[in-house]
Amino acid sequence: MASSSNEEQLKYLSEAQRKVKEQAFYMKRAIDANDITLTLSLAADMLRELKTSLLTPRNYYELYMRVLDELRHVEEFFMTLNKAGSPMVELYERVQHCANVVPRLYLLIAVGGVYIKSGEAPAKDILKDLIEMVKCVQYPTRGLFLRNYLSQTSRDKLPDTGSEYEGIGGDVTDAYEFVLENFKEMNRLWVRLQHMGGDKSTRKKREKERQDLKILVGTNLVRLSQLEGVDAHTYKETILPNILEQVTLCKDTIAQGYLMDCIIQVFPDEFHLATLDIFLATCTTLKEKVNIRTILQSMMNRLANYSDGNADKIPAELDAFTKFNNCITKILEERSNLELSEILRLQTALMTFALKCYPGRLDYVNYCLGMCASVLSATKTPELDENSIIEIEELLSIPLSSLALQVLELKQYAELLTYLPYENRRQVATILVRSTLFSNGKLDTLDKLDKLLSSITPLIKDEEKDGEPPASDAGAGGASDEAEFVDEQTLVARVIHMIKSDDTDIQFKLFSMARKHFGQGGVKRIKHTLPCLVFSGLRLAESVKAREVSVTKFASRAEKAGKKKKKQEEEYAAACKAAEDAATEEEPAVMPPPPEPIVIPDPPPAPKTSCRKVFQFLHEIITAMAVSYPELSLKLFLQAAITADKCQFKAIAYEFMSQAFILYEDELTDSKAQLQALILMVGTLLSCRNFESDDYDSLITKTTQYAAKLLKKPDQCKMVTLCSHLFYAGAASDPNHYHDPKRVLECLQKALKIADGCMASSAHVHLFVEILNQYLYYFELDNPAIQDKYLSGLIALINEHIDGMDHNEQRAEVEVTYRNTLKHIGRKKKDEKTKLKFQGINTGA
Amino acid sequence: MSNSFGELVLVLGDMHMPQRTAQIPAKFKKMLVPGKMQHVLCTGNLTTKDSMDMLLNLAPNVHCTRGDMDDSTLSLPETKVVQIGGFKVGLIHGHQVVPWASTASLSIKARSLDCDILVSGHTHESAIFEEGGVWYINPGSMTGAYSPTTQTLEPVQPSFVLLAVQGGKVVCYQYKYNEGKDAVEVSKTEFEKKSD
Repeated sequence: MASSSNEEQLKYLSEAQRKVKEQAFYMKRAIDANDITLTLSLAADMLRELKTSLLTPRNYYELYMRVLDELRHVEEFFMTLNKAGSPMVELYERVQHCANVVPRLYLLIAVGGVYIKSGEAPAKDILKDLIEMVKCVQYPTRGLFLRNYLSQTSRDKLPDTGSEYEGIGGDVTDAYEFVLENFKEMNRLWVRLQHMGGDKSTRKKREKERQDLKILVGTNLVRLSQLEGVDAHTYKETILPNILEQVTLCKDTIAQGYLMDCIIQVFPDEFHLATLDIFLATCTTLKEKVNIRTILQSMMNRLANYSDGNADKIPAELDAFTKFNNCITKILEERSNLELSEILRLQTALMTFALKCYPGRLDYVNYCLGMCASVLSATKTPELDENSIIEIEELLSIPLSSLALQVLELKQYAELLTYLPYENRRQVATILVRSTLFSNGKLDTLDKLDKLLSSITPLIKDEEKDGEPPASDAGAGGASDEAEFVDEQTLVARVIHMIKSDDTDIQFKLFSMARKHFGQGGVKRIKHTLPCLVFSGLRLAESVKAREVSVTKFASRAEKAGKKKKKQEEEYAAACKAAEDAATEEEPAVMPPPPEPIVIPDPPPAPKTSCRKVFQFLHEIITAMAVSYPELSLKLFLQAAITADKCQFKAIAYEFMSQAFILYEDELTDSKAQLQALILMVGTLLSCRNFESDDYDSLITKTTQYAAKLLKKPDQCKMVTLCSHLFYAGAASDPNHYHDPKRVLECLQKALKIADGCMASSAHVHLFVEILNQYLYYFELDNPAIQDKYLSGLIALINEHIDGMDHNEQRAEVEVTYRNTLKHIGRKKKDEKTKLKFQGINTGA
Repeated sequence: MSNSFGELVLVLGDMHMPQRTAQIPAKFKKMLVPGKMQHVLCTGNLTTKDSMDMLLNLAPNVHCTRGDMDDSTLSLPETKVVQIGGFKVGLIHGHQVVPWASTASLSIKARSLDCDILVSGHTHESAIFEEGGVWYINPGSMTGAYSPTTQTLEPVQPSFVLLAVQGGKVVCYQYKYNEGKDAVEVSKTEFEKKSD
């Protein structure tokens, strides 16, 4: 056959095409002249070009298509003749006189088509005749195309159920028998093409040619799937067994792979479900080089998509999982040459199938993971190949989207993770955390938390290299750039919020465990993770406090009930005694009815972990961060102080506060950071209302000193003004209020003095107005030290200085604030309730 | 872009993700549809770029001030003043205003920002009230993040505020998420700009 160069091929092809064109030209003229004899003879001449064995299948196809285009004219001519009344049987006889086999058979099929249509003879008989006749051509390429023409021509003329040819023309059995027969023969021809001689070098070429031709064979399966009359039963009993028989018998790698795939693609899901057993049985008999994995995988995917998460779509009694699994097991036993990655891929496919078709069956998933684990542990090679690594990552990632945290219940999951390199484990861990968050997973037991944290180790700490200590001090590892690292750690931090136990004791244990894990993260990680733990811990402290309060409340209630019960018992005993005493021999004692017993309920269990202990835990965490993140830790200490104060732990609140102060003194050197910290310290001190007064005194004295020591004068001024609040904390109605009116005045006066020193920067007027507002604040609060004369004086001072200001944005701003302040005073002067108090303020208006 | 509600302004803050909480309640998240609002006013404490990006996605005008837990990397201003409809709206996180949540101290801030509405957060307790001709709006915490300053030992209720501004009129919708019922509760307040 064709073993010529490309150029020669093109030459042959164009020569043949030229001849076809030429013959067709005369042929069409003969048709126009209605000359049957000449038409047939010229058509035969044209068709003779298809006898060639010089062309490659691809080029032969080109020629075939060209010829078929021209043959349409002949078919149409036959139709016209038929319509004009010539019986087709005659023509059918006549074309058989053509001397050459190939042209004769093409013409016979062309007439045959019209013959069937004419209804002169039953379709089944003509089809049978044709299928017998075409057997003459045994040369693979020629035979395949000839049969393809037969298949095409007969497509709409089969006596299928519901077709116009059904009945006298035959039934669906005739239809599928015809197609099956054609399929068998075409497959045989196609396989034979492989063995058309030639050495090893031509083998590859032959395979390529066969790949080009496979669609011709596959078309027959499409035809079978299109037959209306074929139901699942016929498919199971006749069609599929016949196809599979060919698959097995042909013993050809390409044919087996292609046909199995064709079967999966062209027939409906219901048919597959009905025939899973025989299909899978054939799978195990396929040649060794057939990629059995892709076949099984596409069948499983097909059924999984069909089931689409509905457990009931695939009948339970079918037990498809076991069937696939048995098939896979058998293949693994028989094929020792399967690559590791292929085995893993098979199991991944089976697991994916199980997840989609049997959503509730964790045991299936676990089984697949277990299979992989045992295969991997049997592999002695220490280094896995890249494909296998990718496959394991895939295997471990797939169940996450549907199972999330549940994967931790799978015994083999963690074991499989250990086979992955650090980077791949990190990827899986990221997906695990994401899907857990997405599914609103709840970490409520130590076991769950431990399993999760162990599984996501690559997100929690750097890789431990053999012989080297973990690089916990640098601790950047894993993520490639900074933004990705922050994203990753933000994600990890969210894990802490999934720790949710209703029992505060367990919650504390869970946090302690998290603390241990996250503590190993290194400096860069703890910045993201530990603050979460601190805030969760503060929340826990409040819950424990609430629990302690309820225990105490209960105890006092129980005590009262106990007393009441005792009293009741005593009264009853006394009443009984009185009744007995009053009794005589004639009138026996009448005992009083026993009173309704008072039941003292069991006390609620006291928390084992006390609120105090939670605070100790938090103290330790914040202290651990303090060296690396003093600003952040200072803020955390302040928050903790407020919570401790809220929970009535004065000493602990003071301790947190003093830790914050130490950080301020030792670590905060940047003036902006100092200013921001001081503002928070003032706010925090004002929020804590339970300090011992000595403690409070020393804290506010320190704070005011810090304020006065700030570098920039305007900052000093603002902060001293702010600190005045510390001497007037809490409303007068609050029993813990702290009011020192004189110190407030001193602060404001000191602030004025500092503001006065800011004249050079002309920030002073703005500061004056701020201080005026502060005076007003205390004046309204009835601070006795703040008298109206101070306000009047300050207003006069501002009026004087504001005129000296340059007309610029700064001045406009000050003027607006000042105007609003005066407007405010004006309103107060008009208000009946405040009129009297404010009338003494001279606004100069 | 204004509809029958006028300009829609989303007011929120104190998300504190991931430090204090994992996420915005799903029921709230569903309400945050990009393109519906013209302005977003955020009091601060986002505290990540992620949260910032989420806000930038929601509306063409996003204004945000610095919360006490916001990193310097977000480089947010301490205060901001935005003109919306007929209103001058002042925005501040609120931790700078002491004592925290004091109306008298907030009113000083309102005078210096010269605003008709002052939006502040920090307390994680949603509030809307009027004082001395200025409306004060506190959206609370969008995520129900923990805060030690709340009055009770109960968890913080997630909340935010939506303003429909039409010229000199505002309708405030105060949204609160009830976790027990898994439901969003809404209350409505209306006010008009006072002419002085």
